[in-house]
Amino acid sequence: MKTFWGLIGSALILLCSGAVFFESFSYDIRDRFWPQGISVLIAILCIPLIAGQLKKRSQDSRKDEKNDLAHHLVWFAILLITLYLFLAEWLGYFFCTTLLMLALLLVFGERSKIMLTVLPVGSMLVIYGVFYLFLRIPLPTGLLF
Amino acid sequence: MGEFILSGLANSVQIQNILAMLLGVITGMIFGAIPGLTAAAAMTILLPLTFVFPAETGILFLLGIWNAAVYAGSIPAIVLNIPGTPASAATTLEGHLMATQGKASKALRASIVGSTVGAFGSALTLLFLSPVLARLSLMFGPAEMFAFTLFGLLIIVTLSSGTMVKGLIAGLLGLLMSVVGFAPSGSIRFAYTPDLVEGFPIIVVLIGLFTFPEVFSLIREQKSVVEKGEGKGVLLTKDSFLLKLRDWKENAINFIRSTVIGSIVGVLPGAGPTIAGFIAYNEAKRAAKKTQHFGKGEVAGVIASDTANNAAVLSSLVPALTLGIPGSVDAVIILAALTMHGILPGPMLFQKNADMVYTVFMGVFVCNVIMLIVGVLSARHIAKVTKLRGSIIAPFIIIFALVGSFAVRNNWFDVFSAFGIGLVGYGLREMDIPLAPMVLGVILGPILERNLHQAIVLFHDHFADLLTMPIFLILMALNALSVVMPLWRQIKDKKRAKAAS
Repeated sequence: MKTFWGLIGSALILLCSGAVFFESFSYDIRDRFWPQGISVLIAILCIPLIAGQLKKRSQDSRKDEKNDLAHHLVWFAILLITLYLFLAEWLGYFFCTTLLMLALLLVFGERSKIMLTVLPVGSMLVIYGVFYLFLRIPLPTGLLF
Repeated sequence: MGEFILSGLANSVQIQNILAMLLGVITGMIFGAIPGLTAAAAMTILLPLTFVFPAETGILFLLGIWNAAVYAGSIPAIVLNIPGTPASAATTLEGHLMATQGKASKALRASIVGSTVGAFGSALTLLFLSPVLARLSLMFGPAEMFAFTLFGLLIIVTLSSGTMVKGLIAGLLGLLMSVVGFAPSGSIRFAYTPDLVEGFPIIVVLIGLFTFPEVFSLIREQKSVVEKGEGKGVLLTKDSFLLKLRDWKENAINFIRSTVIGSIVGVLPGAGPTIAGFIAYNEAKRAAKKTQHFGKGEVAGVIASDTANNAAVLSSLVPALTLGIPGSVDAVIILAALTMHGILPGPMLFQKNADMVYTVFMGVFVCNVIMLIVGVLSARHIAKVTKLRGSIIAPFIIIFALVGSFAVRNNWFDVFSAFGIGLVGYGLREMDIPLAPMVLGVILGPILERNLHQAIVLFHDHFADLLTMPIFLILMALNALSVVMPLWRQIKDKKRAKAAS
């Protein structure tokens, strides 16, 4: 499985360098030789990378990794953070961050009620004091603060 | 000069100066340890506070912040594999591996000792060699800077030993990421939103690349830092107060070499502590008798990077004080503070304000003693973070990474960027592509391209002139050696292994 995703990743890198190469034609020669040079080098280096992964795939195609709970936890965390990124500016940083912290703690298996209360509230107070009050960083307050 | 040094020392140990330095060191350590907050941010925010102090006290306060922030960036680099400041990126390479082996306390002590030695050495340089180094910095034109930056970039070869292709791809991806925004000619490239006109801020890239992949690995393994490595869950905290005598003996040359590297790199405009850390790490690895220990938690790697980055901090003040040319944003803030107190930097500074200058120079030594005491006393307690369960520490890191990336420009787009870059980093890590070369590419990319662009403009119809420039030629020869030597060593090792089998 890992080698399969490795191949997908290598193809994406190749695709990305190709996109940069062709997109660069819209710029002046002085501005495009550097990104185009880099993308050509990446494309060349992708050949041994993909070849290596194909070789690895034929060698251990039966050794697929288990799609265990830990992998799901990572995907769930990614989903929660993505949701948070879209909501926090609109609903308010402090409200959403407290919720995100609580959700992450729950997802990662924390069950102590004290921890579930103290950690989100405590970290929010620290961020509010240090970043919002002392450093005057304008964290988005949104609809619900 | 001797009497100035003595009176400077007497002035610097006055109670208000010591208190200002202590306050600066503590503030700098807090800012440096939080990814996203930098020494420059702390110094800018607290610059108005220096109005209430006499000039030398104000400058010492700012230097305390700057020095301590560069050191403190290594704390999360070692404990969590997340550099607090870009200068500590090289420290993660060996420091965090030591933490996973339960040796976080030793790594933190090595880091503070290295930082102090580097800063001491650099202060001596500042005291005695300022004019010489200032002249050296003027000898570096675009061609020399290009060759020098290329030297920094070729460290990728060392960083990716064993996985050369993957390391090179990572470095090139870093370079590619750095082309977003202003090109050296002034036009804008690949900025599909106004937020990208200035490119990706380096700190946002660092937060993304180091934080999220690390957090996801903590989540997956559901273990503490010491449990997921070879530490077997044991945290070793009973180290000697500073470093063991054996470590001092084994690293004596490493300390000197890294201080020299940091002092020289620091005076070059735009280079700074980040490159100094990587170059010193590279040289320590190259000079080591047992190169194979590097990449497995070698204390010499931590010492090299932290000695060099703190040495580069003070030496970047050399062109600022002697020529009035700041080599970094932090040096600009120091110059601003001096100007606000009516002191004009430049060649006359040492004649007109000798008292103040030598008080500051001697104060740097005192400031480092304060930083050493605070750092050593806190090392054992900070190391305990590595015992915390992944399920508790991961949400904290995520929250602080998100707020830290927002704090860079007060821009929510940067939070998206950090997370997106983090996902890319996680994907690359899953493909066993090392991330350190990518960081090096992002940092060095703009410097390399700008100097290449300027060199081409300068020499476009007489490239042969480059062959008459000794510094350029020496640096290019070093570049060639830095590629050929590891390859030659690899071939030799393979032959030896073949013969042995």
